[in-house]
Amino acid sequence: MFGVGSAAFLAGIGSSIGVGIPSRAAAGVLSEQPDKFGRMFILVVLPSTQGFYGFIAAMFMMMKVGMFGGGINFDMSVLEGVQFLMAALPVGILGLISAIHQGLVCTSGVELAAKQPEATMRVVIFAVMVETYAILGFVTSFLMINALG
Amino acid sequence: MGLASLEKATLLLYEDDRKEFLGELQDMGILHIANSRLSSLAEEYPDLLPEREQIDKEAEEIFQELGKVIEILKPHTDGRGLLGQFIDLKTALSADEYRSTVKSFKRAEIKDICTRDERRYHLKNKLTELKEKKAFYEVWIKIRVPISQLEALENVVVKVYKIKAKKDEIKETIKDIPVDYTIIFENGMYTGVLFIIYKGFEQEFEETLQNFDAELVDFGEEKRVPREVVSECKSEIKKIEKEISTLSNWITEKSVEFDRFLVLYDYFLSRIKRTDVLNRALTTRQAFFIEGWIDRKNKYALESLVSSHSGVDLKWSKTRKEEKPPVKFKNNKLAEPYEVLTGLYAYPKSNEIDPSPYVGLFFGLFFAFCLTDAVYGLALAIIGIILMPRLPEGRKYLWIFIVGGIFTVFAGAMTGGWLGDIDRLFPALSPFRHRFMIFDPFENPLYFLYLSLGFGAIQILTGLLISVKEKFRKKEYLDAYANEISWILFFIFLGIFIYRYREIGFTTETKFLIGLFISPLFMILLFSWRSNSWIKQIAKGGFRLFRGLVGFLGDILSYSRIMALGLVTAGLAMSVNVLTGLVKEFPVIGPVLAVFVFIGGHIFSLAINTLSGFVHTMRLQFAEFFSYFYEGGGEKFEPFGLAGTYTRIKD
Repeated sequence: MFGVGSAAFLAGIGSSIGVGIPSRAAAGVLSEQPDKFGRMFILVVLPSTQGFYGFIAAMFMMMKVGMFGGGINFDMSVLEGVQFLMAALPVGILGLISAIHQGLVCTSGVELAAKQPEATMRVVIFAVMVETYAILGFVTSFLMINALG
Repeated sequence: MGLASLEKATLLLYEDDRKEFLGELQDMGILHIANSRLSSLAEEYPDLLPEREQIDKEAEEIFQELGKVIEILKPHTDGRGLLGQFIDLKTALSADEYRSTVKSFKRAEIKDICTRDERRYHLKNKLTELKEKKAFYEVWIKIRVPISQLEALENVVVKVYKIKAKKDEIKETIKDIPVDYTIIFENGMYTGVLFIIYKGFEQEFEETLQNFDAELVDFGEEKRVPREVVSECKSEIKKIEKEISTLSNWITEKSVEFDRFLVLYDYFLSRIKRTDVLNRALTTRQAFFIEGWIDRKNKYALESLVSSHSGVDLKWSKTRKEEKPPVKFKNNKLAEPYEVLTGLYAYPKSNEIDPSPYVGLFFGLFFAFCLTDAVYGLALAIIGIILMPRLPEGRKYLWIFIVGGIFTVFAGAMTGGWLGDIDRLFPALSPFRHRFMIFDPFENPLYFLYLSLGFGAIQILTGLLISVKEKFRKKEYLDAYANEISWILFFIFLGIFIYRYREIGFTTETKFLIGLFISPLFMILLFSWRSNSWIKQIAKGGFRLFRGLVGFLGDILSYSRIMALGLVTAGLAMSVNVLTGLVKEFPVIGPVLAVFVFIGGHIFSLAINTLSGFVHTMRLQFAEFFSYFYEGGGEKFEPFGLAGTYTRIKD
């Protein structure tokens, strides 16, 4: 259960922080230029994806331990539990760190989009570059979980 | 398919015919004006560089004022809706409407709006001041005497203090000093006190007061009783608020004409652009020398325009060596929408390939597997089709979404994504869901991973093939053989080797295949970089080989994001269904709540996953695919035409 929790929990914290940082900057911009809401919105929600990666990994683990199938597998050994925990760490830790850094990129993007709205999508691409490592973490976790009984 | 053929036109405009000709040329919007003043011609003939810039002062001033008017009126309009937040929607009008709007323009009108707004701004500042003044005097309202009388008298000194203490503490501290006092107010934190100090005891009083955080109140020039001041403030505030309200109502009423000011804004911007053309030209006292680029298909239109003006000469010229013509996309209807994505990255150079058709080949497919839900795909396609006639500005993006949506329907059917695992809620739909399903992403994630990496390998190989084609066009045969072709052979033989090795193991055939996939690597090592020194050549070739192997591996792995995003969509949709199933069991409100959770949850999932799918697919094109054959950095073909910041003239 700790493994399930840490996948969703760590990545979720990262996304919360990651979304929070550009949100503050976007709120400042919107007070002056309310018509830029759409562009700001895209930049603000980008770091939320890591939270979903964590959530999906957690859900996959829950499926594996039978939470959706009627009951939890309480016969699991400590070693198996540790394996699940280890499988949760790539998506949890990479999600946490990458979401925060993606938030910082998006904050710069908010400032740029306020001055040059047409450049918004270019900044989005830079922000997506940061997310690559969360994706690799998610794929790693997913494959590890899949390999577990 | 690719880029349009452009011709270079040189125009000689005589002063007499200049204005009229430029007006008509601008209406046609066919010629991209080059900056002749930066050309080698200007270096050759420096006398043709004018001393002064051409300025349409009146247009510049009105343009500034209109910008201000738009800012003033904008908050009073209902905006451009939710879509307007994402896309720059333009006001569409006919050429006749455009002309009549321009004709009806009166400068006094915009001056009136600006003056009233300035008055409103001034009044708002005054209102803030008055409110502060009122709040200040309200606390001293119990002082019944005029402030002018609170000055030194014959035997006493009157002072008013605001002290951070309770009145009992103050009373206790000053009880031994010959001082009379009146408590004016006490608000929990501060106590306002009027002191009457007998002359000769001022110093002792001041020293005693040092025990507190006390502030001597300065009433400034005011002489009247505080109540009178407060009353006057109230009446002033009422008056100002009324005037502000009148002004705001007037401005709100004026905002009905907001679109008209947008048209005028574009008209005056067009006028400025018309003058600005002359600032790109070389000039003599009587004539302007303008160079520009035109799509070959519009040559006749320009010739026809010139022939109708006696004061204009046209000559078709050759491109000078140092010149870089602008680029104009020319693609068929299917590839055209993807030009916006190429433009987002960088416009191709004039001698470079346009990657838009190739992006079109892959974009829909990758996007579909990032979304992997047939119903989401269908929803996207339907939304795109509905919005298409209403949003001509977003036509290209909408087309990308429609195509992506259609592909997603197939990808969703293949992976069993119909609002996630819809049969969890409606078991009767299970046979339908499984009928088209080829694999379940959760049951068989490795299959999904191989599929994603396979997509990556195909796109990267396509990138290499495009690069070969380009190098052959430029006659760089050896470079193409020693780089791209060698890599392509390496991958093909490696693939065959892996396949055969798994089938038959380590045999003579597989040994031969090892030789086949290794030999292109020697080609890369020896010839991918050419230098006078063999040692240098091999060292740099070795570096290229290493960088290539690591680079290909990294690039192909990056396509695993397709699988990750596909799983996220499937997982989120499944979570919505699980949650709906749980909520449905709540007593009484359960079924109703379940409908809201189901619809709201899937709308959210569609929105967030569409955004992710779109930006990640775009990234795969820019960062992975383009890096094999595309550099970009060309200048966009922007014909000299009417400004369209806010408006669009209907055909």
